Amino acid sequence: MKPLLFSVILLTLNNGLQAVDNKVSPSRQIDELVEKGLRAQSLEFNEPISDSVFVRRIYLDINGRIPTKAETEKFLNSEDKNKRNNLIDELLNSDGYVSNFYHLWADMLRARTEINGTNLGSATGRAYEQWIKTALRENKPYDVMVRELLTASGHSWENGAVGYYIRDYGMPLDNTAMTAQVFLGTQIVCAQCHNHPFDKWTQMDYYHLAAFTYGMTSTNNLPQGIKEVQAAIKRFPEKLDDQTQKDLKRAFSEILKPVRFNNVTTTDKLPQLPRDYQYNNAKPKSTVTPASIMGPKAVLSPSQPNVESFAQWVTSKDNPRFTLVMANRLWKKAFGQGLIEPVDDLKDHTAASNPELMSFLEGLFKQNDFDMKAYLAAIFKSKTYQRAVSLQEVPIGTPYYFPGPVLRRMSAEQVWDSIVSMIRENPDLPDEEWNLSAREQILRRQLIGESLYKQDAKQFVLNGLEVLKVQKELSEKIDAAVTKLTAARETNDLQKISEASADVKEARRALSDQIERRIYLKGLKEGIEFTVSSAKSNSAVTDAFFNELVTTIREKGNGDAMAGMEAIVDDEGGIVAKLVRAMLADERAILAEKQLEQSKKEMNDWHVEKKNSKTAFNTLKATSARMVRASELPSPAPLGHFLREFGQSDRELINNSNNQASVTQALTLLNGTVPAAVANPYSVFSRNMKEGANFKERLDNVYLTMFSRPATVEETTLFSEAWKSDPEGATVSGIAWTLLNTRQFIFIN
Amino acid sequence: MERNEFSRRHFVNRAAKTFLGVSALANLPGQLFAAGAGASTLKQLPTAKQVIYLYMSGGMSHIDTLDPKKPGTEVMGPNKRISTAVDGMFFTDNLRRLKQHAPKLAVINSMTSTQGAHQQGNYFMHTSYEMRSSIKHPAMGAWTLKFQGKNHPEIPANVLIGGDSNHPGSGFLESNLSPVALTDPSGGLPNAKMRLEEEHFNFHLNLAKKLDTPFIEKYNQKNVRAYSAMYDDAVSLMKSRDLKAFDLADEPDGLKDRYGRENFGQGCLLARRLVEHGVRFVEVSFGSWDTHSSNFVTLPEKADVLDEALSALLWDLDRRGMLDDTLVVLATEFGRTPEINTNEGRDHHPKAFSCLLAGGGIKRGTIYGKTDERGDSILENPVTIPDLNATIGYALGLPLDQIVYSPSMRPFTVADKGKPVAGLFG
Repeated sequence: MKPLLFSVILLTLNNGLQAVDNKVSPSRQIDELVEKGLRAQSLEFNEPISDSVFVRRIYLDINGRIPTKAETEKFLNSEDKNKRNNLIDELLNSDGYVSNFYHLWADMLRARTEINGTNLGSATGRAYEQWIKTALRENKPYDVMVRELLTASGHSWENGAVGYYIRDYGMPLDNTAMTAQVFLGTQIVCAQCHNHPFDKWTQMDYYHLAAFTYGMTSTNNLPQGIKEVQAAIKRFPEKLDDQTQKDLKRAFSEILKPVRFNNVTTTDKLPQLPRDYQYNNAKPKSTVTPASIMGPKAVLSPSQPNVESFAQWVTSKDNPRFTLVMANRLWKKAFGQGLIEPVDDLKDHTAASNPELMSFLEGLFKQNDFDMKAYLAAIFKSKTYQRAVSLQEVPIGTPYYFPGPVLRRMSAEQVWDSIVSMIRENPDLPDEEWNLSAREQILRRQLIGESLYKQDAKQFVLNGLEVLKVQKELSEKIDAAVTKLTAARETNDLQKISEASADVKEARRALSDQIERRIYLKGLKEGIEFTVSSAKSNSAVTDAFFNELVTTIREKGNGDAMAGMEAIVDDEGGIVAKLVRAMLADERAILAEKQLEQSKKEMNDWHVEKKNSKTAFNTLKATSARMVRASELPSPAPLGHFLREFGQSDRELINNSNNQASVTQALTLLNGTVPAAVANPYSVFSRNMKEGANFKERLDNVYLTMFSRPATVEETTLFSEAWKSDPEGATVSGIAWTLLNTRQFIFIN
Repeated sequence: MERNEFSRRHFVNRAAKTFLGVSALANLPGQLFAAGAGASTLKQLPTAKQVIYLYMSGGMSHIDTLDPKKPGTEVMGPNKRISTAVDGMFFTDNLRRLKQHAPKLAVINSMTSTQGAHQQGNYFMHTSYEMRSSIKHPAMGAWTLKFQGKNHPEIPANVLIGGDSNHPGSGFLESNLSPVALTDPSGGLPNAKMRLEEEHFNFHLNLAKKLDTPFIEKYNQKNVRAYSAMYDDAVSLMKSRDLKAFDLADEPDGLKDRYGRENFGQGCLLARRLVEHGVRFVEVSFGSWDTHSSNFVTLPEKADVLDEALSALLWDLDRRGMLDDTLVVLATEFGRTPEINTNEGRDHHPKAFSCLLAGGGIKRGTIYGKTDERGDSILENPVTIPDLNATIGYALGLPLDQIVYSPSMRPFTVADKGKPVAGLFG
């Protein structure tokens, strides 16, 4: 890095930033500033790129996948002078943008489907994912998004942004480090335990900063409040002995278990310095109050929670790093390299490789009020972006002056999504199965939450006692099973051993069924009665959730809500899954119908008639169910999955994806199932290929599908010569296999 | 010193006998003994060359397995206590087969952790560091490769059988030190078998190379070259004679039965095959020991699978002479409460629990540490999780005090300053 002081540059410019000239398009201003930077280094721009290179690159960068042959041809054949800009605008408004940029956010925020590594958090994980996608789809301004994340509270089913705090459940200090790194590009984590050895941050700074959000408790607490419940226990008519009180706690946690990791409460609770605090500016274990650590100070106000002041300070246009970090991050997304590297470890002396350009970009992002699509459009429409990639790599630690983008290996998600687009039609359409499964997960928690959170503390104690009663009944069964088991083990009777263990599993299931029936169902019925009676009296109380529930059960009961309820839950087993199924039955049916229609239409259009054809068609359908966009698969994919082999982030650490080569990647492409799926007779790839009248046309169709251009003369010669020597190789699968295993395919030039 | 001299010679001998492939043998001394040389005062000559690490996920109850209490006491529930040939080493009758192998074992009954939740406990056990959202620490397999490199040029050196997605893998170290994950031990190394006929495979790969030549020549960059090398490595792996290390088909049926036909048993058998072929670190994961309810029904089932597999593994390694340089570790995130809860289960108990070591220079027939009469607190010789990992690292000859910086420039060491338990060697 050049030892240019960033702050020095800022001082020289009006308003601290390079001015944005409204008469010249921002894209031209980017080009001019890049050119100036290049000239100063006696460097030149790379060559402009052809439409073929452009269309493949822009689809990968915005949409997250290669363009289909139809999309490529539409673009190449267009004679519109403005076609590149139009395509950029079109793609930024597509579902593909949401799908692709979701990964940028999921990597930054470490968003996981099982948000904290247990399936108890999966409703929150799904709600968080939906929240991010919706924000991107609506193009919510960046500062608004961040404010909503930092101040998120409530239940997962009301506000998916609560994932921000639940992700770091039980680790509020670490959460602060995350916030600083992701949004302020500042690594303060060392200062959690001692003054930062390589930066100016002190441990006290850390605690001051952490104090803002320390009270954002992603709680398991009793919704009625611990104190109220304890008081209710004391007031209980029959005095509860110590053992019962102890058992009650366990019963409460049994009741609340399904809604754990689904709630965040805003409090102004403050942290204490650690026991071993070693500096003399404060005593160990003293309480620390909130204070900001850079730029204009955060202002605390008695009329709002600390976290509001914090969010305003972080996202302020006056915060010295907030805008800069995202402006640079999005630049990197387009060019494969930041003006500042690394993007999230800024220090006072950090300088951009082209400070004027960085300053202009920061100003631009502020000027358009953090409109990410407008900002990205300016970058993508620049001539700089639309130039050839550099032939040489940029060694780590050396500045890059952007004669064009750098050569990148596709991200794991881009490789996967590109392959998806070679197999299934309309690869960007949101996967309705995936969305419906999210609705199921979330609704499940909501049903339980709504049944519990309206009850008073005394009712809650009664619930606990009810659960204890059930546990007692069942413990006899378990005792019996244990006795049975002990006897069976004496004689080593395998049959009896497995019977006894089945008995236990049964008892376990019975416990949760009984909790659903005796506790949740009771709470829900009360809510329903209330809703029905307030509807009758035309009172203004409306509760969207209970209204929806009442509509569902009324339908089932031919107008009578309670009769419908009884019919749905019948009298055995759990009730939650049954209610969820009933509430989503219509959507499920519509989806199933749609899928059936789609299959019929395809079978008709593609003339799927013979037995072999049907087998191949069914194989394609089965494959397609798995091969959906990476943004609609569990995050992260399980170990061993294609995405993980290609370096998808485990979403444990910020931006933890990688594009390094590994042997298992080669094995996956050489011997895995992907080439065969691509070569299925009904895949997009195969159908494209077959459209060709002769060998040359078929090969061109393949190249248009995978590389957005026809095959070159040399390539055509290589293929035709190869097949003269081995005609058997000239199969669809042979071609797919060969080209999937080229560098050209997985690198973006 | 004398002992070390002896064990070094002994070790090289052993290595020569069991090692496969001349080229690998040729670089053995350099690879093994240069690791950390001159860098560490804590370095020692390795007593173990490879590790089989059995991880009991969910928290294995110590009282019901390796640390039984007096028969008839309340904490024992319906368990029976059985004695072994080693004075003072007792198991419950859940581990009847393991009893025969007591003289090979070192049982640590004084493990203690600070982490009482699964994910955190699991992470701590694997990495020696508390879980932080700001950094990911490497697990022991990755540390081992970091310092000692691969043992075999063609096949993977770090393998995880049946683990979950939360495995810390290579942490902040290079991603290629991560374990290769196998979910099904009987399925071999995923995608290592040629799907195409060899003739077609070579033909297409050759064509792909020719088609790629202009691209590769134009973009002569590190990552492009890495991809070319990766294909060469993949092909030599596919053609490697030692790929059969991943294939259980060559093992006799009788032996498969002896290990137990469950995934865990077959995983242990595969682990033995792998280390035999030069894989350095194999973890076999087995869950779920989280017996909050009906402990006395579910635990014996788990323990039976463990008992069968571990006993077979020890027997098998021993008869092949492999137990001398293969360290077997049995670990878990925490123990379980002496108190039996209302659901006839036991809850998490990080305060005191048990782990087991065998082979790889560990003193045979050792009982280390002790808990009180309820299995609640440690009475003597507590062993922290960093200590346990330091013991593993010590056996492998890793430089325990060598500082390695993460990319964020934070300093870390193998086993986070844990002390190897000297009493376990000798």
